[in-house]
Amino acid sequence: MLTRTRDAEFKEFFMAESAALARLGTFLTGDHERGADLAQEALVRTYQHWGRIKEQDPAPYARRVLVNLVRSAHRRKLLERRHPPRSHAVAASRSGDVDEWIRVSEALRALPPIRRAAVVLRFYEDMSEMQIAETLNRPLGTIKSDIHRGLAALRPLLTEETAREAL
Amino acid sequence: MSFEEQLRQRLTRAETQMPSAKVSLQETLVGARRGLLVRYALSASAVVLAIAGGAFVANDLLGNDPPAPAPAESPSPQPTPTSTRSDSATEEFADPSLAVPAARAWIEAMGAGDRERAWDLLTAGAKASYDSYADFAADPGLAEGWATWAFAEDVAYHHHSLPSRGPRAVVVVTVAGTRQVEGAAERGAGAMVVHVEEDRALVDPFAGGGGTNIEPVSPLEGGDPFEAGKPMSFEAYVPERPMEIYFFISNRPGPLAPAEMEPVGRRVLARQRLEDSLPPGDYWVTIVASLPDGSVWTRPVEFKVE
Repeated sequence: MLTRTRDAEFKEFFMAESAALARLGTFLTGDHERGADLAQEALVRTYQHWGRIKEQDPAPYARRVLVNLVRSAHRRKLLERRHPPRSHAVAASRSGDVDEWIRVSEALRALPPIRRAAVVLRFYEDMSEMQIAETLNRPLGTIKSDIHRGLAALRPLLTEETAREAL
Repeated sequence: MSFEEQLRQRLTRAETQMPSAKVSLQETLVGARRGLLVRYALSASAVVLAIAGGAFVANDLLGNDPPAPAPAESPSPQPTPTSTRSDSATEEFADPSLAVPAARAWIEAMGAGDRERAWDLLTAGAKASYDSYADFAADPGLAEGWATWAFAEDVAYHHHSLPSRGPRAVVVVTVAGTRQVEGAAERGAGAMVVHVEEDRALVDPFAGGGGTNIEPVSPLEGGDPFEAGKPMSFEAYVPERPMEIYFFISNRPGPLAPAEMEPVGRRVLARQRLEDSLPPGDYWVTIVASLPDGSVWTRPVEFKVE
């Protein structure tokens, strides 16, 4: 009975959030299979904590877990062993319309995972700095630093590549 | 158009071109239930230990879920404003008592807006997290983060040494107090790592970032008080295997051994038992994970003894 209730509640959450979490995971890893893997693991842990977090908004919890998984994976490089990185050039050759994804994901990969997460949550998920601080469980000042430094690192990367395109 | 607005638009365009990434509900539920079975088995073990030693609080049995992560800095009562020392039982060649003055000096420099002085007090590793001094000097987040500790009330510094690796002492300094955040008083704590070599101490205030990967477990997480006069046990999950984990407790002198570690899936459950007890009051425990790559994660968590 308890499990059925939990499953029904979680299923509703899953349907609403799983695609967004998978996209966030893809932005954070630069790879859609890795992104989906980590999103699924984040959802597994969300389910396991459901009784405690369902009264709050479980979405920030799931995002926090996802970001922590990305950071751990980045450190351990385990995912590289499970899913060897794909060549973006190959991906591009399969579709003529993926240039922006490749450019943006390549630029994001230059950032440390936590800074990448802060930038993506701010400018893709449109969260406020306070919401990001709560989601990532970091002080507000640290989040402002992460965003400031993330933008400083991205600006030359995306600007230079845009300038090259214009030539 | 600002760069921020350009980035927002480019991320949106990139999303439309992103390869499809789907998650299976069925696989998620199967994985989650498998994990719960493991956790319930561990909880049952904790109950057996509680019966034997009267120490454990296993409240995640049978329908009560394992706890979610708590904020690193929660509004809460304040520990007494004293500075204590609790060193691990290892040989030390550098003087770890230099750590608190270094941490205090860094915070004061930040509070005074003296970024050059603050930069000089950083370890090489901390400096490497910035592209340059100019990047550090222009970082607006620091003024609303660490710098606010310079104006905090009821400030207490606690320091604890990690096992010595050669001539350098590695010390975790926890600062706790009430500070102004976004115009409101907020009680909390922050932790930084200080490296002491010969007579020079340098700080790494950014080492604590990985501490968000540390998940304290009940009763720390739930905020339930410990019972005075009884043995105590602290637990926390860390997502990868560290070399050692410590639970350093404010106002508790004397050495502490590394915590026991137990693999749980891809994570590690660390457990620290105290054979003695603490008198009633408010305390901080600073959870410290020492990783094989030499990095140190720290996370302060408040608890109460009644």
